[in-house]
Amino acid sequence: MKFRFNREEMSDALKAVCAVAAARTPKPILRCVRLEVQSDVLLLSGTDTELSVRCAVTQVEVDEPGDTLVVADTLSKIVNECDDEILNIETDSSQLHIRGAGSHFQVVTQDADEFPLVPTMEDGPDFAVERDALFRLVEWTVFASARESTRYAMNGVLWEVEGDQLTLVATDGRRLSLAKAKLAQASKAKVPSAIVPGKAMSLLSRLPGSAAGNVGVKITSNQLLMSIGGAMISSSLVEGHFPKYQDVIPQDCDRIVEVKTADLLGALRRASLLTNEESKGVRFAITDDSLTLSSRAPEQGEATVSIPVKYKGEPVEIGFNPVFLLDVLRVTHADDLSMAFKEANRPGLIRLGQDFLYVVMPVSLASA
Amino acid sequence: MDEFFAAIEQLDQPELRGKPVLVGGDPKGRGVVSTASYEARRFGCHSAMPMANAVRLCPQAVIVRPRIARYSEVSQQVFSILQQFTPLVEPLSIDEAFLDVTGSVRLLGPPETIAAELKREIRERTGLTVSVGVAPNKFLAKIASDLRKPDGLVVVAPDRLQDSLNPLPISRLWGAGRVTQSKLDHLHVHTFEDALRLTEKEWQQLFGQHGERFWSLVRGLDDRPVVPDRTAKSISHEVTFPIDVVDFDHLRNVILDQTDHVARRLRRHGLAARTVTLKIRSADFTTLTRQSTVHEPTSETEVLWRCVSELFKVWRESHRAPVRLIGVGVSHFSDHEGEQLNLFNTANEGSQALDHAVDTIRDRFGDQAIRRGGQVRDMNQDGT
Repeated sequence: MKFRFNREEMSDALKAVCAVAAARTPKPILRCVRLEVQSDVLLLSGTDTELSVRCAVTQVEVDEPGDTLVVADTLSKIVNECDDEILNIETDSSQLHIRGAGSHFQVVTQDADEFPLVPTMEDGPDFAVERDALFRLVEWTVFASARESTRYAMNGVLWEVEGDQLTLVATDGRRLSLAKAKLAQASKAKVPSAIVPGKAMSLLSRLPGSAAGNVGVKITSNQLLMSIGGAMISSSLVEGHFPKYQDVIPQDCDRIVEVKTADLLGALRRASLLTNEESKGVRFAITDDSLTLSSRAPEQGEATVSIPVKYKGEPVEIGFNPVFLLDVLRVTHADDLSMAFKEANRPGLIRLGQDFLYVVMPVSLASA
Repeated sequence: MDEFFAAIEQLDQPELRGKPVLVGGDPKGRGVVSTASYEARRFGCHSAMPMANAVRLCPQAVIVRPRIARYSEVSQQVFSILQQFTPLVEPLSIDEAFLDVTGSVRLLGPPETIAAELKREIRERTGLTVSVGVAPNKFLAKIASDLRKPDGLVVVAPDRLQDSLNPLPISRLWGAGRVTQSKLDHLHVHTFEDALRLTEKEWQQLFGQHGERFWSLVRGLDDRPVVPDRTAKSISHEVTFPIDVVDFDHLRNVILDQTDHVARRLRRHGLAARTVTLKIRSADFTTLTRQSTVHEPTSETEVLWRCVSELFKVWRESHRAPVRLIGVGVSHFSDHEGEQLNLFNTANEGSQALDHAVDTIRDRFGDQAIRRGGQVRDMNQDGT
């Protein structure tokens, strides 16, 4: 193979591949990026067998097509470190040569036939979502999924499509995020629901390309495929049953507090300075138009922080792990927020219009 | 408490008063004596003796089957009286406890006064007598409480500590079992006074890591704190077998019983534990402890048992030696304060309901009223 390419475009694509290609693996071939040079396009792909990515690099001039494998991280670093606008790549029987103005790199190649098959979206997507809308859903949900739960289903994010609406739900068993968006192009047939690993979704934002456009999505019985611009992500689905999330979204929260997001964020950060492993909870004491956060770390100290809120009703006291609230406040991007409660051992609810809701379970407070 | 079970029977059935009473199993089977009243002890009967032997020694004795529910009811009553004198009450068994009254002296007077008041209060409210030992530490207090039963009150003054210990037989030394006893016997150490002859080094050479503790104890030195259950950092239950045990199934039943006990104590105090420990001492005195940690703090018997039985399974794959001591413990507690509540019920509701039901039955009818399958089989073997 022999071709020239735009270094910057190539660099961006390689970063996405490196996010998937394993750094350490018992199968060394999974550390590789596949370079498929066709007449007018270069396709880069990487996989860890569960999650795969394929990116097209279009600013190429091909002299001779070809197909080879090199270690992704090595190629990415080389392309990154060079400052040429254009680089040349050429292969001989066992080496890949990268040439810039004053530099020449030789990298060992491997046989492309050895590389696992990266799935493709054969007959187009089932439905499409605006890229921005999907990015927002990802940002609103992935953080709330479990990391290493033994209930595997909670390590992924649930995707449900109904009519022209996509709903994503994530939970770690203590808090739950639910976000909705309208589809840009609805599906003709019924789309099965799917539990998608968070890693696959986070990868979306690392793909090269412009912000505009739609993401085409196809869900099969064991895979989710997403295509955007010249890039495509495919991921195995998480097996198992997602918890019955509808049952835990409270319908009876009648104590509603309205607060400025920035106020609450600051107060939470300050109050959580005096929490520790053993006492993670921050006490929320809500009275007429005032919210007082207090925390206590045994043998360390205590904190009390008050902020103004809009609240009318009976005073209520409830404890929360501040991390669960800080997490959601960081992604809401809204100036004002409403939180609703019922009582101290019942979940709290945060809503943002019709498109986002967040349920968080309290920590129990000492009766004192 | 003095002859606790027998005393309660004599209290509840006035016609038994002044008569030799044996509380325990059936003399026709392999039942043993749980408690002998002082009248029966005069004939040589004592607890843990086969009931048949006891009856031979004292044919006129009245045999009463134990009513554990009643005994634990009285026990609870007694413990709540103890709580009035200090919050630092460490239960040792159904009828024994350590109290640290250091902080109560200013309010209630010197320890002897507190002890006398405690005896009076228990007698008045329950009709039972108790023997109390007052001493600077747990070891001496326990010895002192045994010295003048029944209805005793023995005070070991800090400055007369060694004098009180010296004449005592070395069998009173805490933690000194069969093997220790016979080793000491060989060295002609029969009393605490004899034991003073041994240097710290000699103790260590004789008994390894326990040597140091023995050296301290014969000098009346013991710095273990009184640890009430509710502030305990761990709860454990262990048993040293009278005869080393080789039978894995028997060991398994013992630890099942212990797990059950430990879990119940956790629940009683509203605690949940994260770490489970299995301790096994082999006949050759090598002690092995194995721990496992659960993701969510728990007090469910079922969950704890899963950990314990897994630890036991791993142990038995590589060990064959007869077992001298076995025990189950839990630690790394979280009380419910600051506990993160779950959206979905991750706990096994069935298992929790079972625990609750079993606890309720045992609170009313005693620990033997309901048992797990494995435990029942063992119970039948005991003939109880």
